[in-house]
Amino acid sequence: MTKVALGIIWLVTPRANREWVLGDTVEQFDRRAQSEGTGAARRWLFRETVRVVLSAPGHYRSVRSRAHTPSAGPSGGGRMSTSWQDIRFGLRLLRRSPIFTFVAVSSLALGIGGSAAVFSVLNAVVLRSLPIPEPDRFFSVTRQHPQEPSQRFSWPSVQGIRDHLTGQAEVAAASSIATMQLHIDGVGAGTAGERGSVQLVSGEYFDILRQRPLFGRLLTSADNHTLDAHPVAVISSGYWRRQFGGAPDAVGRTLTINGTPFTIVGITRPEFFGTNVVMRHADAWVPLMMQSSVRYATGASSHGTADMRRPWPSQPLVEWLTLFVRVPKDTAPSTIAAAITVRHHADAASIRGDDPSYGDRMNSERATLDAAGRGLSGLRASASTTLYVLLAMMTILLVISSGNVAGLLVARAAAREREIAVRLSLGAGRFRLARQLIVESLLLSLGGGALGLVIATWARHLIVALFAGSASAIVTLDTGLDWRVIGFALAVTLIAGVACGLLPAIRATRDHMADSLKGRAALESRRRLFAGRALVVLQMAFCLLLLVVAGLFVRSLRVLTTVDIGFDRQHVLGARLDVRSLGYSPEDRHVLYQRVLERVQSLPGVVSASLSLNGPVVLSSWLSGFTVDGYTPRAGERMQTNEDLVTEQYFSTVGLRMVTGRPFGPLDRGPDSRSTIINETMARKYFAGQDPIGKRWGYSESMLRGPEAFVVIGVVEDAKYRDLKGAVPSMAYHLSGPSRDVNDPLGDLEVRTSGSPLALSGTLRHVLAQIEPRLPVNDVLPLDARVARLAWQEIVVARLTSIFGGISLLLACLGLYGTISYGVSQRVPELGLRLALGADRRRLLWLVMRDALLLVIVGSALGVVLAYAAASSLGNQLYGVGPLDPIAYVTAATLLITVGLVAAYLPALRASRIEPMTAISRN
Amino acid sequence: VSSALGEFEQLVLIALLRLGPDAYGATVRREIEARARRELSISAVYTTLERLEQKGLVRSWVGDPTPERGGRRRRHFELSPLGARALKAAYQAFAGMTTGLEQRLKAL
Repeated sequence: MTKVALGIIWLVTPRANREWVLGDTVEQFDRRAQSEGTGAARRWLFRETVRVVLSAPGHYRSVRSRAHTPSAGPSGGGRMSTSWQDIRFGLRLLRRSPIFTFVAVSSLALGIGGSAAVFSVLNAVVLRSLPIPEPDRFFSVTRQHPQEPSQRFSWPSVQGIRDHLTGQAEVAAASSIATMQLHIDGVGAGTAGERGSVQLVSGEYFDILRQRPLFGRLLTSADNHTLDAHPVAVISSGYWRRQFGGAPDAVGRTLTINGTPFTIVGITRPEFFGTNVVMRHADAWVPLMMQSSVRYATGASSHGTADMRRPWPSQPLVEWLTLFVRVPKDTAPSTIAAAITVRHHADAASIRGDDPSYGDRMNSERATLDAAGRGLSGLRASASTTLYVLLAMMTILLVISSGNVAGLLVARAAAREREIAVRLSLGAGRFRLARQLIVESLLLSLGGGALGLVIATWARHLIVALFAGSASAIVTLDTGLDWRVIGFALAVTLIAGVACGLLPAIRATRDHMADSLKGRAALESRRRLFAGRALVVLQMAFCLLLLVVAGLFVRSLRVLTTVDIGFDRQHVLGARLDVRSLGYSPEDRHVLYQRVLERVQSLPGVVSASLSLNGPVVLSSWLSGFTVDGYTPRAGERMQTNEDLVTEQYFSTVGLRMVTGRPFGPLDRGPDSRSTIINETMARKYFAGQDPIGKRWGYSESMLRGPEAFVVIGVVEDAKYRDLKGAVPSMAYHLSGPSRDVNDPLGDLEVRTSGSPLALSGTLRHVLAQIEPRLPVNDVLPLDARVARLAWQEIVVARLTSIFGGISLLLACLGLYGTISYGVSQRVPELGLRLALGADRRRLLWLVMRDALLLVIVGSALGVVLAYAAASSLGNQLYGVGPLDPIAYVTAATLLITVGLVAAYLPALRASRIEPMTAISRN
Repeated sequence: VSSALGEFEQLVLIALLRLGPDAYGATVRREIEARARRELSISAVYTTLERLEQKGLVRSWVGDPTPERGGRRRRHFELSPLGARALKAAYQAFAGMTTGLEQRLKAL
């Protein structure tokens, strides 16, 4: 990276000053690297390179007008000066034909810019390292287990590992990033506040990442000693700029997080975003000892005697932290992993007393270190395939637009045929001429590349906004154009430039060029026509490929979003309530639930309302291991079911039918009620061939045998709870009640409406604000929109590929238009003769159209083969649509042929309107 | 003496005065960055130095190769007598204009 930057500085600095400018830059870089670290120095060099490039014209001007050179050396070799001549000659030619230049540059810019934009997102999500020193020594720890590897650790276990590794490696821990309600300086304390993302970290977190504050200080181990006793927070630079307008006095002010006031002690540096590569990074970091103060309650596994109501940091059986390790350069990661395993097994021995089976499980686990230098990212796992698909499509689009430019260049070379032939016969080197032509196309592509980078800076925001789901979502993912992106764009530009110039260069300098001097142009123009047509056929083929792929994605999205999810998606309005942040007692919460349900049910247009812990079609879930009588799991099979807590009206509200048994009712309200309702899948799988009503199940063998066991009172139809694509998992519903949902407040409100659910959303918000103004209410959306949210990635892909398909159609048909027009212009004398001999004008029209049709059909046929090959490799990206989906292919081909014929119609019309006399006399 | 000095030209000349025999591209740049508190590019420094040399206000010569810069040589600069006069004139003009205004300028 540094070398590339220095290379660029070398390139844009006047030769007379190169040596000292470069020397000064290296000197400055080394000083910065010593005082601020390599990362900071690299970023400085990046800025410096941009500045040097921008001030290069002024620098050249100042040197050019100077009389004496301090290093009076001979200026340049013959080779270099010839290239300069080529470039100047090329620039002159391009300036002389501005329309040609404009069309060529802008179509290349579209292709290069588009791929650079996709690449910059890919770079940010998949390729780039965290902006921390020595990211390659930074690891996260996985507990390897044959069935179920885990990356969660309890805080006591992290502390044990930290102390065990003292002197060998550094250790830190962090929770997931959670959405919380934030107030600044107590402003708006009576309202819900702003949503922000907060991460809980150990005191070593910033140390291990080698971070320094922008202002104030970062968290240290001293900030993470005692439960709920460290109300200090570090905020991100981005949050500071957004919420404090970059005011330097933000340090010391109060940030209230889910109702608990914290003092802001510091601000991180602008480039730092934490350890998770996500669309929206953490806004604030607080000591993990503050877990129960901020009511953090996501992403945990609990075992045995764990009590989720008590603070988590003190409990060895509540696992909720990601463990990070920084391994020194001279130590092998495997050594550290082995040391962690030793310590983990020691923990297992002490846990066996509380939960023997879990202790055994821990004892069978082995720790491994995974490179975390690029950060942790769920986004990476879910989006990288999509991004590669988009990049591939963008590249094909670039090929199509390069085809157009190559076609234009071939036509231009034809116009310069005589000039070239004269130069060849006067003894100009073939290589020299070919180089001239390639330099010309390189100039075009460099222009396209420069403009493309401008397009990319804008288009990447568009792509990110599409990925984030809406243009207004706060996205802090930095997709900036770093060296990798610029290098990519440069490489693409150069390849496109050479590729565009190669064809005309080879053709222009072949032997038969001598023919054109002798006037044997007919043969030559036919050859040229063939080259142009071959190009068009290829463009058509690639265009069809893009159209088919776009069609497949659109079809797949349609299937996905119209799939029967079980729930009635047309008449249900959902809302997410963050009751947790209110700090109510379980009893108060139930009073609130009752008030909410009564008020909402009394609204006009509301049929019924219910509350649930997770609710329909949302991403959160509650998964538990369980056991029943009469079902023996196969070897390696884990018996697990999803669970949800619901109020009595839930099933009728969301539109789920009872299959057998009864819904929840007054009988089940008592605090000792063990009634559950299971879904069809659970009934079919675990109670096969029996009547499930009255059957018992429990989380453990002892629970199943005791009075605590759950009793099945009904079976409800299956529904897709969160995964639209996969099979329906088993699900058990419990009736909510003050004694049953102590840990997890009901977070989802469902309202069944008689009319359009969307029309009710404003009223619903208003009513909820009246009941409890501090209650955060989010995502007031019809179920239909929730389904669309789950399919966001498919929506992005369908939209983007459709846009790509549309652009490729436009470009390919422009190519077709150009080639047919050129063909017509070459055939003017022939066509005129035909007319003079009595040919019908309509026949002439058909003659030209037939020509175009042939190209389109041959191209489409080739395209079908390409499309099939591409579509079969898409595999699991498609849902409910095969790679040979006839509708996608037929639509794509029809579209291509129709638009192609329209493009060919104009030149054909011109051909049919030729005046025979003028045409013949032109010969 | 000659046309008036631009602001950046003045900064560069003052830096040369301060640095004396240590003045070359990187030190001039550091001096201005540290004291005038602005980030600038090395080519901006050379552009100005080139101009000043053409106006006869600055002289330059090339030093010996140094290992810490990858064997690259430095180009050293110093004020010419003409440059020293121009800088003095500029300073006197500035000082004359600001006499008695120091408090108010600071309060701005």
